[in-house]
Amino acid sequence: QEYTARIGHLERAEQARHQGLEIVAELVRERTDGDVVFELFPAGQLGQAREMNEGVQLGVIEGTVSPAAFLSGFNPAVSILDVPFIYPADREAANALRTGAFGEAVLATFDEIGVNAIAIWPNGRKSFTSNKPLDSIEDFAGQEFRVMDSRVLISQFEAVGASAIALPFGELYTALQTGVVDGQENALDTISAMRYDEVQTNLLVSEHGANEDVVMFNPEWWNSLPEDYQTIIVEAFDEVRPQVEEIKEASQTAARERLEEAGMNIREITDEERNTLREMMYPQARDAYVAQTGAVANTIVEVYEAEYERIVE
Amino acid sequence: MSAALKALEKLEFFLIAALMLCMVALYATGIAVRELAPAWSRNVAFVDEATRYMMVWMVFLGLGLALARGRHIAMSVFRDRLGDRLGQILRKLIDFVGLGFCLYITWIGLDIAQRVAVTGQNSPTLGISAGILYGSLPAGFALLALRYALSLFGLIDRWNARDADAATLEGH
Amino acid sequence: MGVAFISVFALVLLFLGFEMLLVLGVPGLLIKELYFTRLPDIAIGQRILGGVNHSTLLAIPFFLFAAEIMARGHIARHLTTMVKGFLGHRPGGMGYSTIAGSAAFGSVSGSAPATVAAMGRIMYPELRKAGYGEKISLGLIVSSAESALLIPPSITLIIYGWLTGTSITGLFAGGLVIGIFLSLAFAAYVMVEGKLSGRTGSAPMPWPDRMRAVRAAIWALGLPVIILGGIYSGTFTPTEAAAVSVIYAILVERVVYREMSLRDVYTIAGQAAITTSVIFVLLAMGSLVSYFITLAQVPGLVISFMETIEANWIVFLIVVNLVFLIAGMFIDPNSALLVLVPAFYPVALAFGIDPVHFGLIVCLNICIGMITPPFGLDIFVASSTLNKPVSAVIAGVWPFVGINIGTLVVVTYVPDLSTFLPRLLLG
Ligand code: NA
Ligand code: NA
Repeated sequence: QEYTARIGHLERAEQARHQGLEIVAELVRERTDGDVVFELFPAGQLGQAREMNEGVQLGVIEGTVSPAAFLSGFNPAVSILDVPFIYPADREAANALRTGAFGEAVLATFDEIGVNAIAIWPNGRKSFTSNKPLDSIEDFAGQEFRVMDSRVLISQFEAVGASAIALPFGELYTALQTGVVDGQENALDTISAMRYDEVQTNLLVSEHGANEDVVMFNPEWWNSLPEDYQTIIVEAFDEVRPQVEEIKEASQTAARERLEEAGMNIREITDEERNTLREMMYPQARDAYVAQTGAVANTIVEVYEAEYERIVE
Repeated sequence: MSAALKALEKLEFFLIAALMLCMVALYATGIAVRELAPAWSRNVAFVDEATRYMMVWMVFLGLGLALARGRHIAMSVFRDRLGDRLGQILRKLIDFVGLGFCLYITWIGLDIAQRVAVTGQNSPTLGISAGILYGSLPAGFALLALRYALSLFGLIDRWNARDADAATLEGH
Repeated sequence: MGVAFISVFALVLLFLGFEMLLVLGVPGLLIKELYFTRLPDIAIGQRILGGVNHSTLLAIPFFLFAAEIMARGHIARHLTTMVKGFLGHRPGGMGYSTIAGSAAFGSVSGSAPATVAAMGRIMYPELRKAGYGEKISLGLIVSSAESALLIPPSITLIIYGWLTGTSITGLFAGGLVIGIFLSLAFAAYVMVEGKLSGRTGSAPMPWPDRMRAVRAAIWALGLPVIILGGIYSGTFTPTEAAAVSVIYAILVERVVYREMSLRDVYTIAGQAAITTSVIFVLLAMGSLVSYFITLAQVPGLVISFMETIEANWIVFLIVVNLVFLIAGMFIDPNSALLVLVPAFYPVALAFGIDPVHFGLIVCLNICIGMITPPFGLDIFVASSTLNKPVSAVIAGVWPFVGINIGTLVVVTYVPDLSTFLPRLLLG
């Protein structure tokens, strides 16, 4: 019998997420002798993030890989991943958090909303850009940054005295050009692909926010699979995770080189600044997270802080 | 019957006009706050989402009224040139197909609104149920279905309808 | 085979005079029932709603509302009287004003339908008064709105830039050139048509009268100043400018001219809402159709067809043009981009076509799609805001479609036209 999964996501075919999905699709096809087929639809062809997530929940499509930031409306517990400096700079330590008890706890919260979340994939780190100086932490005060609709992200900016303005992604380039907002936050490859270098002068490579992807399947489709196929799929996603991170890191490096060539004023955050920023942003954003999420948030934060202590400190 | 219909039309018109005015007011407030008191701008982050929800509701709530007033877009050249008898049959066919289509969408809309409400999906900023968003679908298509049905049974004449408001304001 | 049958079925519904929402929606349901049986019905509800649930669409109802206030109050009259004072005596003056006005309004609003709605509502009566026939007036209003997507800022070009990693500054520079080129082509047509039909200008207005017209228009002139100034100074986004223009128009009509009652404002709001509804339901149904085109992986089929016939770059670009023109008949511009560009772009690169050049070909195709019958969103917007039958608008649009196709041929086979300014700017 054949099992076909239509998997939609937002990124372009050249980007890490899609490349990773293609590798997974090939592995799964091989290991199930062609019984399980993944049909991939990149670039939002099947709709916006909200529609795809809802589609997986309701069985319109079988799978999606969604940035955690787009999932807060479905599963508020997942917003912990939007909290700034949730991961340390070190990639290995970050991966230990992602795949350990903390990551498991986040994935488990999806059961309640009728979605089978089987893996978290890394998708780079966010940095700040602005047309105003970003030479010190004090410089943030009074600047206006574009954010996605998210209380956690809004509190992140408030923690350093900046204001957060919610704007649709499609209008951001022009808004930066005309000065409706001073700055924004995104991963370096997004900054490069969207050509924000053309409308932004300063880049602070802060890597303050983790872009985490959640791999989700419709439970009904998932349960129709034989158990060994389920194992094959989960293992394939776990196996490919390091490759996805490699592709992403490579594209970040390439993007950084391009942004340098384009003449952006680029500055790397110092360890000291990172610690100060974490001390300012983390508690406030965490509290905003707990306030909007309720009881389950306390458990997640507990698991997270214990793991962070064990792995990082 | 016609009194009830008039009341319904008044209500529909009130709802969509009010939505339009609220959308403008909300959006303008958002800009004003951002420009005049940027520190407060977190309090208006909901404006984009709220306005979008209102727009979706306005779009679907307006469908029925638009049909009653003969505003929906169609290529009417051929239809208008048919003789009385054939033209009558064609118009009934259009009403019939329209009725069936709209009832089907209403039914799907009810289904999806309920299911989304059950999943507990909330909008990211306002935190209200996404079921409210989908409620616009059955509401709007039920109103449109009603107009197709009334026209099918000859209770309204939507084919020769003139938009009363458009006419009265033309004189200015 | 099935696809052909369903297309014919849709055309039959269209010509029989079924509402356009049924022309798109009923075949959409049919495709679902015949070819996507595994897909739950709720997917249809999701797509219909998804077609209108976009923040960037808000500019359309707002500008519709603002234009209706201006048209029924004094603002539009003062503005057009002033323009007439300076240009009315020149043959073609009102036509050129419409083209230039649409280019300016379209460039900032970024929305072609909003441009048709706003400029059409204000300029159509003036064009008619100045002796322009119904056909050319309608055609001019519909087609000059294309500048919205070509002249920067343009969300269409930004999406293309994101999909392909092309410089947006480069695309904007190229878009500016093509937008101006197209506008000049339209102006040339207005000139020729004027000569042929023997249209003359009105008697020139004496300078004191002109000054008086400017003074009378001072409050009305505040509106373009606020929109352009607000956007370019970074005070607000184009969508926000739309909302601000509604507030400004209501204030000026109520406080300065004092003839519009609150009741009128309420009635106009409801009217604008109905017009929005009529236009947006087509976007909703179009989103349903484009979903099935995506699921059926149609672009991939086209690519493999071209591989089998071993197409060269000229054939490739012809196919791209044809596919976009056909797609533009059924689906909205942004969906067309998302579905088609990822399939065609790698092939374009393989043929050595410049990314900026390809982007402008795509953008121009999308523009043309919005004004070509039977399904052209801008045609329907003109029909519903100006209360004209679709067939009248279509009758007027043909010469402009011809000019567009001519321009498309030039843009396609003269790559330098698209790329010289970007090269100058980016080195
Ligand atoms: Na534009
Ligand atoms: Na078209």
